[in-house]
This record gives sequence, C-alpha cells and structure tokens, in this order.
Amino acid sequence: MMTTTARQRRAGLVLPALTVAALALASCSGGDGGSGGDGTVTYWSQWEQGEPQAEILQDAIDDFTADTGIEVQVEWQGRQIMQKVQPLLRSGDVPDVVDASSNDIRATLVRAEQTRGLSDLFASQVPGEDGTVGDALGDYDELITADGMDGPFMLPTILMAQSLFYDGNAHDLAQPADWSELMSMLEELESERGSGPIALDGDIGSYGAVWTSAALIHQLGAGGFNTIAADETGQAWDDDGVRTALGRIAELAEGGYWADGSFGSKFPQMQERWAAGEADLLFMGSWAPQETSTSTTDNFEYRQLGFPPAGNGEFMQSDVSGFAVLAGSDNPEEAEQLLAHFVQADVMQAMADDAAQLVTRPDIDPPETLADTAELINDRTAVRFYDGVDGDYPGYPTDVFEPVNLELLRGEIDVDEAITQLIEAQQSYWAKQG
Amino acid sequence: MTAPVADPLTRPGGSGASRPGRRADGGATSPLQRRRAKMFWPFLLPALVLYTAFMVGPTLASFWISLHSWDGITPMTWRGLTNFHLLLADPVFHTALLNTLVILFGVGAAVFALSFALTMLLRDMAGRRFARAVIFFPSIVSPLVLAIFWGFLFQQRGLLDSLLTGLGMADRPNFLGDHLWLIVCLGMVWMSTGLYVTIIMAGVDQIPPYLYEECELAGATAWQRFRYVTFPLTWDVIATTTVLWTVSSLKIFDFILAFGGTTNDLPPTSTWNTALFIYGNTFGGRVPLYQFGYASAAAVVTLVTIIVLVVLLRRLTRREAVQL
Amino acid sequence: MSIAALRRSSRRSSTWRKVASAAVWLVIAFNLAVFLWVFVNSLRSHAEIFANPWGLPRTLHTENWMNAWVTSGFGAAIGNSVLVCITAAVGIVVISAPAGYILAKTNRRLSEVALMYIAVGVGVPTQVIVIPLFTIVQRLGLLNSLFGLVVVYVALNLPFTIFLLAGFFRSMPDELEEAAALDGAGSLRTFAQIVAPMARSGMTTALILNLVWLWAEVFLALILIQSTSKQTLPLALLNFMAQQQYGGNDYGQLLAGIGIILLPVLAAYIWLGRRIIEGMTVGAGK
Repeated sequence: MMTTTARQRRAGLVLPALTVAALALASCSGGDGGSGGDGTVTYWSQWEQGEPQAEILQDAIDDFTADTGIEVQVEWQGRQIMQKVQPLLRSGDVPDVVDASSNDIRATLVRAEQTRGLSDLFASQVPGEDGTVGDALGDYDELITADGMDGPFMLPTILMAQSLFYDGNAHDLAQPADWSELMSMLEELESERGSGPIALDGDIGSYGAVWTSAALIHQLGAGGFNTIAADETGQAWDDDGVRTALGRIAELAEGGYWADGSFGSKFPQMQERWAAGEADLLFMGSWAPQETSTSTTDNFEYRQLGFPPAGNGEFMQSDVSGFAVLAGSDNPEEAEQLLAHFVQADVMQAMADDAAQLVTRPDIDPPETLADTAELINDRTAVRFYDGVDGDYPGYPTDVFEPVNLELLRGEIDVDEAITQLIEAQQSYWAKQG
Repeated sequence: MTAPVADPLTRPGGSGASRPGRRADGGATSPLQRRRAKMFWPFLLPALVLYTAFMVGPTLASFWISLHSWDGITPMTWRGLTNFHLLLADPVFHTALLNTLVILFGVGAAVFALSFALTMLLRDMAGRRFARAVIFFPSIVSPLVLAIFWGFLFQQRGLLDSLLTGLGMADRPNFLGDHLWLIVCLGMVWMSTGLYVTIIMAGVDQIPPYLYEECELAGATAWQRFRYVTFPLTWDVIATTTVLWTVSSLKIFDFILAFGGTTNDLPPTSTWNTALFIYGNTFGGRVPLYQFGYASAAAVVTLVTIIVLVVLLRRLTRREAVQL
Repeated sequence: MSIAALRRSSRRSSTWRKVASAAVWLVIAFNLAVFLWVFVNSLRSHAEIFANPWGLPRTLHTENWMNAWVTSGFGAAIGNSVLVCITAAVGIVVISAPAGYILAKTNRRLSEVALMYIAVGVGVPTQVIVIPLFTIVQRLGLLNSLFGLVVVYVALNLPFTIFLLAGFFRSMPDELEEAAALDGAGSLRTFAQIVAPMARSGMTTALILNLVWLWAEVFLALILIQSTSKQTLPLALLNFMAQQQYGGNDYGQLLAGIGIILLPVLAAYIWLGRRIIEGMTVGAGK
C-alpha cells in the first residue's frame, strides 16, 4: 500500500522491541491451555456440559483422582473440539488428552503427526481387572492405526454405527432386502401418513451425505466412494454404478418421501419431530436415542433397520470415538493411566446404560435402544462413515460433495447434472491441494 | 454489528483545514509548537508500533503468504500466482465473491433506501427520539443473538410460518430451504438499518428548516422535498456513509456464521462471503483446513476489491457534491 | 399554484403522512416485538414453544433462566468479557489520545503522512489480516491468552480511535496550553492535566464505542481463544447454542440464555443510549 516506505523504515526496530515487551507481559499473564508438567492431566472433551457422557466421565475422573491422586482438569469443549485444539498444536501448549471420532482425529491430529502412539497403554492392565486394555476392547485396528505410526493413535471407547431408526411401537417394519423393498415400504408409510415419512435435518450437510454415501457403498463396495473422491480428474464419477446409486437417492425426492420441513428447519428440529411421531424414519448414527430421548412420544421404542443392500455385500457405516494423547503432552504417563481407567467395565457399562451408547468392549451388553444396531454390526461388514471421505480429504464434504448432494436429495437436479457438477467441483478441489 | 468507521480519506474536523493549528500558533516557531514537535515521536510511537505490527505488517504479509502454499506449521513453499489462478476457477470462491458484492450493493441499496425513508418519515413525527432509539437498538446487539432469533422467525413452523398457517395459507414458502440467502440478506438489512438511519438523520438535521417551509408553501410533495432538498443537501453525508457501508459490509461475518450453520458445521457455501471463505479454508469447520496460502489469496482479492471500490465511490460521489 | 391546488396537495400529503407513519410504527413495533418475544418465550417450556411459537406462558418457567445461567457458564464468560473489554478499551484510548492529539496539533508534513498512514487501517477488514495475525500471536506465545486478545483488540482499533480523537483535538483552542507552557509545566503534564480533560467528551465517546464493538466481537476471539475457561461472552453464547443442540434441545433455556445476554446490553443502552447513538454517528462524521 501507499505507506510501504514508512513501514519499512520502522519495521526493523519495531518488531523486536514489541516482541520483547509482549513476551515479558505474557510470561506473567499465565495464559496457557495446557499443563506445565506438574502432574495435572488436562482433558479437553467433545462432550457438552450436562450431556450424560460428560457426567459419566466426570464421575470416572473423580474416581481416578481419588485412586491415584492425579488431578485432572477438564474442559467440556463440545463437538468443535478439533477447531479448538488444532491452533494450539503449533504453540506446543496443548491439552494432554482430547477425544473425538477416529475420522476427525485422523484428519487433524494424525495428519499433523501430533498423536502419541498408545502401544504401552494397550499393553497395560485395566485397573481392577485381569486383562490388558487391548484384551478388553474389540478389534478396531483398522480405524485406529495409521501408516507411519507405531501403535494405535487413539483409545476407542464408543462405537458409532449408522442405521434407519423407527418407533417400534408405531410400526412393525421388516428389514428391506433390497432397494425396491425399501421403496415399497416408504410408499406404504407415505400413504399411511399422507406426507413424507423420512425426517432429515437437511441443514447439516453430513446427515444428508450419509444417505448418498450408503447408496454408493452398497453399490460399489467398501471404499468405492473413497476411491472416486480421490480421483483428481473427477471423471470417476462418470460411471454406471454411480448412476444407479445416485438414481436411487434421487427417487427419494421423486417419491416425496422427505418429511415436511426436512430442508427448511434448523437442526435438531427434524430429529425431534421424528421422535415426536411426526415422521417414521431417521437415518442416523447410534447417538440418536441419547440425543432425542427427551422429545419422544410415550412408549417410544427405538428400533433400527440396516440400509438395503444392492447385491455387493451388506455394510454398516461405522466409526469409533475415543481418546488421543497429544504428542506435545507434558504428562503422557498420567494421561495413559487416566485412559486405562476409562476402559473399566463399570465406566463402559454406564456409557451403555446411562448415555445409550454402543461401547467398544464386547463383554458389555448394548443398550436396549440399540439392540438392532448391535445385531446389524455383528452381521454386516463395517465400513468407515462417509466411506472415510471426510477424514481422508479435509474440506471435500463442504466444498465438493454436500452442496451437490443437497440439490440431488431435494430433487432440484437430476443424476447427470449432479455428476457434471461433482466432476467440476472435484477437479477444482484437487487443484487446490498440493 | 456494523462497525462504524470514519471516512479514511477525509481529514477529520471539517474540510479544508490541511494545516491544523496554524492560525492559533502563528507558525511552527511558536514555543507551543516547538514543544509539540519535541513530543511528536513519544506521543505517536506506541500507537504507530502496535498498528504497524498488528495491522500493516499482517496486511503486507497476506500478499506474501498468498504466493505460497502453507499450512502454518511446515515451511512455506513458493507457489507464485497459482493460488490466484485456482481462486479464479473455484466455484466456491465465485459464490463468496458474488455474495460479498450482493451484500455490498443489494443489501446496501436496501439499507440506504430504508434508512432514507425512515429518516424522512421520522423527521417531523411525534416520539421521534424514542422511535430512533428503538430502530437503532439492533445495531448494538450481538449479531449472534439476532441470528438465533432470525432462525426462530423463518424456520419451518417458526414464527412467520405458523402465522401464515394461522392465516390459512396452505402453500407456504420454504424460507430456509429455498430462500436461505435472501433471508440472510434481509437479516443484514434489519441489523444495519438503525445505524444508517441515525447517521442520515444527523445529516438531515443540519438542513435549515426554512427550506422545508418554503417547500411547504410551494406545495411540493414529499418526493419533491426529498428530491430537491434533502437528497442534495445530505450528499456529503451520503458520500461518507457509502464508504462506511463499503468497508463494514465486507466485514460481516458472525451473523452468517451463526445463522447459516450450526456451531459445528459451517454454513452452506451458498451463503459464504469472503470472510466466511477465509474462515472456512483456515480455522473453521469440523476439520479445519489451514490452507493459509490459498485463503490469503482470497484475502488479497478482497482487499484489492475494497481499494478499487472505495476509490471509485470517491470519484463518483465527489463530482456531484452540492455546497449549501 | 392556486390555493385549491395547494389545499389538495396538503390533504394528499396528510393521508400519505398517516400511511407513512403507520409504516414507521410497524418497523418500531417489529423491533420491540422481537425482544418482547424473546423475553416472553424465555419463560415457556420447550414443548410449549415447539408446539406454538406464538403462545403465552401458561406457568412461568423461571427455572429456564436459572438453568441457562448454570449450564452456559455465562458468569465466567461475562467476567472475561468485562476484563478484556475494559482493559482493551482503556488501552485503546490511552494510546490513541496522545497520538491523535499530536497528529492534530502539529502541522508538519510528517503528521499528515502519518495520519494518512493510520487512516488506511480503518478500511482493512479483519479477515484480510487474520492469518498473519494468528501466526504473530502464536509466535509471541499469546495464543489462548486473554492478554493476547487484548493486545490484538487494542492494535486493531487504534486507527479508528486515533482518527476520531484527532478530530476532537483539532477543534480545541490552544490558549490554555500556551498558558501552561508559560507556567513551565512539562509537556506530558500539560497533556494529562490540561488537554486530556478538555477532550473528555471525545474520549468518553471513543471509550463507549470501543466497548460496544468489543463486547460483541466474535471473529478474533474465535480464532485466538481456545480454552472454555477463557472464552468471552460471544464465544460462550456459541458454545451454549451447541449445548442446546446436542445436549437435549431446550428452546426455553436457549431464549433465557439470550435474555441473559440481552439484559446488560439493554440496561447499558437505556443508561447511555443517547451517548452511544451520537458516538456512533460521530464516527461516520458530518
């Protein structure tokens, strides 16, 4: 700008002087998010204060402190946890422990090589139990390991899986064996109700995206969608299998199967309306019962169906959520002790009973509200949520997939138009990377 | 909130006083003036240092960063003008830039039209003070609060929707689904108008009342009064206010963030302006991207747009200024 | 123009005026209704609001306010916001006043250049500088620190405030200062004891304006503050929105939370309203 010379003359003096002054003041301002290696473990949580998960963990932490004398400082950050942790990675002043889904941890912390390998933790004893942490948990290796990293990058505690929720008290629905059976089920529900039976909080891009990703995965097999997204030319979208899958998604709008307001409300209004009996189906992760429990009708019975297969196998989009220890942690041993404590049967049991979550210990019974999902998980092949696209290609969902997907879901564009748009957006996305 | 900004290119304290203090001091040689000269740097330096380090430096740095690929951690790698080429081809950025211009011109026109109308109507109304205070209030309320309310107003089964249902309207518009951007723009009009009403009103108050009395005698209509008296005589105020709007409209961020998205997910890209674009490509979202180089290129384009627009606006408005 | 025509036109203009003032009152009524609606519904239960947003409270759910206060953590956030805003606003004025004074009252070519140099900063939107700003703050070790936020707030609001205050100082007479100079008072003392008090109204305006903006600032706080224990009020509000969405949706509580945010602003507005309005208008300059 026009004052470049004035700036240049002064900049040489100004910046060092300012740095010194600011550092001097900062050192006495005590502004740090992490801990200073004094044995206090700092834990930033993905849960909100007041959520049952937070209450269970708080109890476990209190026990932990009573048992070991190690203090834990918790911040209930909520779902935007990675937004809060990531800026601090560079300053080194990080919390010791954070939790999030495997996809999110992979996309942020693992990508920046900021997680600590947890082999020691997995080999250590679960406090008060006979086996090790590794023994106690089910096998989720694929979700919690990464190339070039020794040992798992996280401790998975909660298992999440995507299924079609309905109220067993209102309907007796049979698992659709293929897409056409789902369509006739929808047809029936629609005529019964006189309006669209599927509730969707359309303002959350990923809630609409899991429908399409489910269709793609069942048509193309596990990793099929992921492979397409990785294509820098975008031409991989131009494919018959893709056309079939997207064509099915387009049928949802054509049939008028979306519940009223699915694309004009603010989250979480639609899932609440579904719980209140104003819609029949909700394609949602296994957290649905916990999130909607306060809005359900009397005698609501949470039942689930799997996404209809398409002859290429039966899949469940699933992921794990759990804890990572940051590479910059000042108290890694204490942090691992804390995590081992979270694996104890009674903590996990509380997660299942009081927070209505599926947990990663096979010896813990799933909550009644998720019994169908638990069964589906056993019968079906697990595939990453969103086929791993959101974890592997940060920004891809917002920039490329979700805007086009939303138009397709709403029936504003046809399949060919969607493919054209996806190719174009994907080319632009990949050009930006690198 | 719209941050009011003084017109950066007009010297404060009235026009024409290019050599302040001269009349009183009788030149730079007076003792007072010499003392002031001695205090020049001590008084100015703290401000200059902070301003340079945290504003000018970063502005220039944006240009530099925009020529690189950088995630903020690893060393920058030179990319030349690639970021700008990509930006020009990026449909998301096209939308963001277009939306920014829609806010600037479309929302701006609405804000000005509404502000003028309200000013004229309020001019000789009873309870004018109170009216002004009420209209102004949204300007100092956090846009986050306004955004939450705006959601309640327009969502399906929200205030407006249920009102229309009550009136027996069967085919109601899907406000958030089909007209999201329009609703966002309306919200911006609502939250900005108060400030401009008060500014323009202050300008109108400067007009001698006898001019209106003469109009009255000549039987001029309200429109004629506006066209031949108010508008020309508030031209200076309008000129500065347009610059104010230009600068502050580009800063709008939190209303769109809170209205279009949830706390976890960014608003849909169809409602992004360049501020959201930069936030979305760096710090925001479920998985923040930290594309510092690319986002900086967007910052540079934004800045250049502002400079061009402000200069153009000055040119346009200066020509027609009317002296009283 | 004939008398009859004049009458006709004035009659027409009086009906027109009635319609127009009805329109104005409609706008005013809308604004009032918005805030009234928030307060009324903050006393209703979630189910009631969900079922009918237009209803009136059947029983007063005052517990919404209590619950909102407890779960939102607004108390601590208000503390942070008060600390940050007051420190920053005072810092801005303390640094801007001497600079504005010296730029207004010296007639060197350099002061014009310097004023110009500072003036361009008024037009730079935050998003243009946020990336380098983040990097600088992080390198200084001031990330996630309220002090760091204050420094940035001060630096970024200097241009406008200097500009505003320069206008005030320029219109002040020199006589008293000359007298003080003859008495042998030092420059700094003259400024603190003679000049600054004369510009008190300008400085108060600057202080209030900065407080109003900083109180609602989101963008920088969002990027520079990470700990929930250090969040300012707008960040706490964003967090509170998330709580309401994921941790069991409760409209009544959400609106009570908004009420908690609005009340102090409303109180300040009733107390300082004219000052705020006039201050913000002065900013745009006549």
